[in-house]
Amino acid sequence: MSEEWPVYKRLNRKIFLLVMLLMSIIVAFRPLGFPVPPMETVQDFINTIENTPDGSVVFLGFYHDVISFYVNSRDFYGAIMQHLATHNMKMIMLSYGRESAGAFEDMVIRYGLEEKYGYKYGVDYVIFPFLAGEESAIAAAADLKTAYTTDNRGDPIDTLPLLQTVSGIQDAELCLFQSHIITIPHMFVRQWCIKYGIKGLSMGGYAQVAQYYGTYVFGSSDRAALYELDVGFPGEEVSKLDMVNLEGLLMAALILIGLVHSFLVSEKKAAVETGGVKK
Amino acid sequence: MSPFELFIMLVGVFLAWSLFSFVFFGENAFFIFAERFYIGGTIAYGYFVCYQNLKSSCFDFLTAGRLLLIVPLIIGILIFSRLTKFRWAARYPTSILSGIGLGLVFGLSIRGDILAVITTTVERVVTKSPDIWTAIYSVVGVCSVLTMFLYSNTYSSTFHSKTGKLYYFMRLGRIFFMVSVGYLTASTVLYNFTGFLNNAVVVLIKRIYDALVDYLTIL
Repeated sequence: MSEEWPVYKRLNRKIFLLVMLLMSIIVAFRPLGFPVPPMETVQDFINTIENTPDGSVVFLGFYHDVISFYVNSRDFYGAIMQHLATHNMKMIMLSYGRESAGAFEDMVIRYGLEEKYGYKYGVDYVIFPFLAGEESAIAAAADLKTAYTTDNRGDPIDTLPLLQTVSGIQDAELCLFQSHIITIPHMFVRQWCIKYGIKGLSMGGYAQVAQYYGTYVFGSSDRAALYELDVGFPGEEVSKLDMVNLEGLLMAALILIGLVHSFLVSEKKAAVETGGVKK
Repeated sequence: MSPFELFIMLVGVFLAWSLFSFVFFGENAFFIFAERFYIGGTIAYGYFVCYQNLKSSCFDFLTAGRLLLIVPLIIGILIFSRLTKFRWAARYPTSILSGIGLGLVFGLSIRGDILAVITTTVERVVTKSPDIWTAIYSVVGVCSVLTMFLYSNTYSSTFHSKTGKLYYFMRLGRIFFMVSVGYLTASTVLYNFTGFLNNAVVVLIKRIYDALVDYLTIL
């Protein structure tokens, strides 16, 4: 029996994945309600939005070049959009990834920006089409009328009432940006926050904007579940956090078993090498 | 949700699970089909996006009368000269792009990545923010890590030579550096593994279940 003890030796990647998968499925349908500890950066994120005057112009910069990066976290982005909408913010949505414009359009419908919050397209929010060029495209947000001829819905820029008062990022009170690529948030910070002194919020992790934190960036959403709960729009991130916690526990348990086994094996090996005589 | 949307969703789930089957069954017919389908679809969609982008960034402006944009269009086209015997011409768009990139980034990087970091670190000590110990810890961390990247033999022997006076300060920096890299790596690995799995469960099982329940309830 003792020969069979190290269970993890028979735990190949398939079984490991299957166990994780089953655990995740159970949690997806029956959330465990693990506690979500508070986090300073998320609180900063919320406070910055709360402290921005109602009805301010907010720029949202999305860089989704793969749709799954939006689909996987759409409830979180929806919570941000709804949080901004409860403060009646005017939203300028800029797309720097080829899937971003579609993501914005989906969010507007899915989270009821017009039906629930009474927003009007062109007056309270505008969605711009994908603009290629990464940093140079992000910099072009300083002059929207030069960078775009039409919005994402094909309307000429000059016909949009919101753009009669907003010419570019310099007219914004706040900007929020997102990308799964670590260098892209730096571009947003450089071209929007550093250049024009606009307060920035990162929809990614703190690590992406650590060097700018407190100077140009005033919040990051490292724990999306916490944000969703705190602003009152709980979504899928909450159950995902439960899954991560459970999987983390399993991983920690396996690491512990591995360490104990490794220690026992090294003890046994040492005993064999020294002929059973302890040095 | 319309029946068509539900159908598309189910097709998407079928393709996703077909790709996922590789983990358990290796290369199989479902995986190969989904793989080819995905690559083909992505390329076709990429061309469509490319066309849309050219249209919105260039052709729309040209038709609106901003003829000067013909210059960047020609410069952009020159990049394809790499495929011809006039490959030297591709140097122009490359140089222009590099120049614009540097111009956009250089000054702002110095302000944001260097000056702001130094100012914030010193300011935190002066203002004791968030508390004096954290501020001192940050200063020690920043300064000691910086010594790790002194590569000049003449000036860095104080830190890098074992007999150097500040050798242990550099070693302390190494600990700070390794801890931060370890944290970043661990969180990335955990996020990539569990994130992938959890997203798969939420997107491919939970959402489908909810959509089907909604649909059947309506029926």
